[in-house]
Amino acid sequence: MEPAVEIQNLTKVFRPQMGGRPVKAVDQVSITIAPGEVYGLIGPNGSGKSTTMKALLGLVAPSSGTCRIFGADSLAVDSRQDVGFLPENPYFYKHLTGAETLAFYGKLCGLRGQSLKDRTTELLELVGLTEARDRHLGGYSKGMLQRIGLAQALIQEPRLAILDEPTAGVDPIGSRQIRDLILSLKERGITVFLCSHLLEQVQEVCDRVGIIFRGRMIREGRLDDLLAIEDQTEIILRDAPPDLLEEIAALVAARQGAELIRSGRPRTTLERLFLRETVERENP
Amino acid sequence: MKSQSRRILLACLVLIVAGIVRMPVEHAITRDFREQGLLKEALPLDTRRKLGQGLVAVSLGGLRSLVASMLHLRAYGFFENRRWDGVAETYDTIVQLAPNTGFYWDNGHWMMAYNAAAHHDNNYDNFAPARAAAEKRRWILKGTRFLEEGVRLNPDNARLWAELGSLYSNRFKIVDYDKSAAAFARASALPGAMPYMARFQAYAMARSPRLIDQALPLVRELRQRTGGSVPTLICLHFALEVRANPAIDPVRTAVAIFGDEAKAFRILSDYYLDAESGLPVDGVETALEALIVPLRDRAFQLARDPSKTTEVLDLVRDLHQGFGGSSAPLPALRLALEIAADPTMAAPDEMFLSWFDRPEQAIEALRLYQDDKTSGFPMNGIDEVLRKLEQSSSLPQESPAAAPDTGEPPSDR
Amino acid sequence: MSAAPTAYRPLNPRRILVLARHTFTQLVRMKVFYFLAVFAVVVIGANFLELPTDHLPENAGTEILYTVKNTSLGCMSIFSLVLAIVATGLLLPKDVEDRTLYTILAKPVPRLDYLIGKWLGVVALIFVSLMAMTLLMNLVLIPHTSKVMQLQISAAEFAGASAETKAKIAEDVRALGPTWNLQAAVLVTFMRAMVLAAVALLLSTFSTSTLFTAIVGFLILFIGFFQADAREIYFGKDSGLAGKAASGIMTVILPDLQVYNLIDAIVEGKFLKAFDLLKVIGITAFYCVTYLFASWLVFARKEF
Repeated sequence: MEPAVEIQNLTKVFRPQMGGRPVKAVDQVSITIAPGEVYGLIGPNGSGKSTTMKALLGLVAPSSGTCRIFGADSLAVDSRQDVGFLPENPYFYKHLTGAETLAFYGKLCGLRGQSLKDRTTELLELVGLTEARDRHLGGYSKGMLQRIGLAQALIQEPRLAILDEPTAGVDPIGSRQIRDLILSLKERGITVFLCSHLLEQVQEVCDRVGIIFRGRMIREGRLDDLLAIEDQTEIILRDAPPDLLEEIAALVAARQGAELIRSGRPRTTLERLFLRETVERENP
Repeated sequence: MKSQSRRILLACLVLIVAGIVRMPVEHAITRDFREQGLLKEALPLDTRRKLGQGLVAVSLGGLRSLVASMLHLRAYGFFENRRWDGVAETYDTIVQLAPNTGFYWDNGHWMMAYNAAAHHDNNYDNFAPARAAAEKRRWILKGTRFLEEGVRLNPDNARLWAELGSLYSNRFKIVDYDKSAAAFARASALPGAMPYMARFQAYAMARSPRLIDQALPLVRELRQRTGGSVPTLICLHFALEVRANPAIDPVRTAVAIFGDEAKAFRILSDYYLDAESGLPVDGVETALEALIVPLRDRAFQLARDPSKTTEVLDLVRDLHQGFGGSSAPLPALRLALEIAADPTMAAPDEMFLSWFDRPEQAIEALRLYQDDKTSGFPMNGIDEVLRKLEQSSSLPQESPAAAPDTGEPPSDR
Repeated sequence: MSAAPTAYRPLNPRRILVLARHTFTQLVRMKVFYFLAVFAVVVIGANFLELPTDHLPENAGTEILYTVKNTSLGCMSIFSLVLAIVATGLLLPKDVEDRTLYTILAKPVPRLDYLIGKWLGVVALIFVSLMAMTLLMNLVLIPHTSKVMQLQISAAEFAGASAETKAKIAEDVRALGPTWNLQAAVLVTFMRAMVLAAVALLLSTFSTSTLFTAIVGFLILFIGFFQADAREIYFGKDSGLAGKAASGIMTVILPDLQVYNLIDAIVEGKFLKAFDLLKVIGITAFYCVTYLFASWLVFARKEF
């Protein structure tokens, strides 16, 4: 099975036009993403995330190395049929409505007629913008823009979705929606390649993660593997009486090598609290 | 970025190659268009200077006619302020920009040779008379030169040629009948020519000592065409026929040409009395003198018949206005007939007075008429008019002793 | 499952049409058409212009025909050229700035199609605007022409002119009014704008500033106007080698727009033969293809 994304030893050097020293934005980066995976590329600003994505999309030509999407070279136009791209902070065309935007991109991909209309409706529903379909994009909120962006990325049913900072600047509710969308994409079998510096959110959706810093891939691997604190185990109980807790503590103390580090009430996240208090309170 | 700069250079190369390929083709095409008159030559430097930067840009952009239109308005502004130099300079520029638009040449020459010249003729600027005359001449010359350039650039414009012909025939301008005839000849040969242009060519030829002998064939031909019954042309025909063949009988010829004696007399009179026209009058005077006799006789005969007063009025009018019309008793007779035809006429005395140079002549004529009791002519209103004239001229009323000795008692006044 | 595949080869007409129509709508929403209202006011206002009286009654009224044609064509020229340069110049930078370019290029859209689509959108806008302006100009010309015709024919009849002369006069007056020739002049104006738009597109592929593109575009426009003259006057025998080289390169690379100046001759009444019009079309096509191709060369590997 060919990989969805195959980046091999990608290097990109920028030579600034006004003279000055050349900058190596990406240095020997290799990424392989299997179909159906959700891959997160994380790193601080200026680490080369965007450049890597652009190289994958053919917006930037590699200085050396190759990028392939489902086996097709990124520099060829054919490769784009299988890709949907959501750029960072997209504007789109303010003079179009939501439905018109999707129709535009769909036609660029070769869709037309009834199938285009159906697809548009389907996607608008998927991203939850059906009521706003006839409103001009100038009147959309940031979250709505991101969602229409996502819809546009998926218009031609691509097998790969590349998302650049999908939740940047979006409020917690919208952010939650987008993350749910990403998960639903995964359920449909669409490969997702996203990059972000909102680490909590990446943690939630991604299967595999790559950390890039100063153009170099520092660490890469399955999230569980990376994050697992190897020598610790977590047990979460509900309605546990105090005497049970004491028993467990005694069991651990009796075993050699194991140590009870902490017991107490786990904390929920602030986000969950927020959502619970706002949206979920309205829709019980 | 190196490959990008390489591509930019490649693009430049493509442009250069494409340019080299297209240049000869373009050259050929623009040269062809220039010959056809579709494209114009570059504007000369002093025109550009006059136009100023902004207008140069616009005119270079292929909108010369627009700039010409705008300048035309400016020229009119100069005209309204009587700034003739401004008018001339603007028109010079206009015709640089739009040399093939006939009416700029037409209007321009009119402004210079007619309007500016008339301005100085009337000496509205209060120059010394010699200077005013010189200015007038200068502007006429300027206008003439301007129009000559216009016909040089637009040889197919019949109107411009005709205007040039008119200019050279105009006795208040620079008169040159040869050139006028030539211009009208060009005009009448062109497709858009009007009939009058050929006629005017004939007139110009007839006024030119050099060309007059060649005029008759043209005139004969024009008489057959539309517009061939114009009075002046007929008279000219008559005069040229007499000139060519002095032996012919002028009266018979006149009647043959005009149809009847009264008409011949009237038309030939007008022709003859226009002394400054310069047209030949061979045989005209003879004919008139011969025609006048039977006409006068007929008129007097009819005038004595009270029932024919209206009928004879036209004839008497023609006689009075025609050749020898001021001799007695025609003026007074006419007055009486006019009053008889329209007794309510206002100010007959003023009308009568206008026929004479001096009031004394008018009064004298009336007195003679009045005193001639044997004439049998109508006397309608004579008394009142004579009285009015005498009062207004404040001549002493004639005492009975000074009255001519006719043996009659002094009449009531 | 991918959607119905289209050819990924460049110059797909349907795809180009989508982009063109989109560009057209985008520009229209920028309220470009308000200019047409101004134009309408100017042209209709020319109706009420009190023009100085002419010398001959036979000339009466002809001046207004010239004025209407001049002002209309002048406005059309200015409008189409400004639009060609400015509208084209802002398209690419705007797309880059708004990052919408990425979304388009991330789709299977060949860069050549993108460029042609943008250019066609501007060209379509100019075309539609010129059509509206031409219509208005013709509508204003028709009553004036018939009035002049009446005046001149009756003057001719009064002077006893023959039927042939009257026919010639009628023909001359008709030639001053709305003729196919005049429409050809509008077409020539349009073609000039097409070339300028292609030049502006080329400029915008390597300049990221709309202002820069606009300024250079207008400069090229003026150079194009007087290339022939400038060659004599500014780079004549007096200038040195550098001057000659500069003028040489300028002449070769930049479009020589003076062939389009035949608009002027048409206003004056000169007749443009169909074959000559074809030559102009040929030159235009050559320019457009050249500049679009050069634009593609620069744009194809451009990095964003």
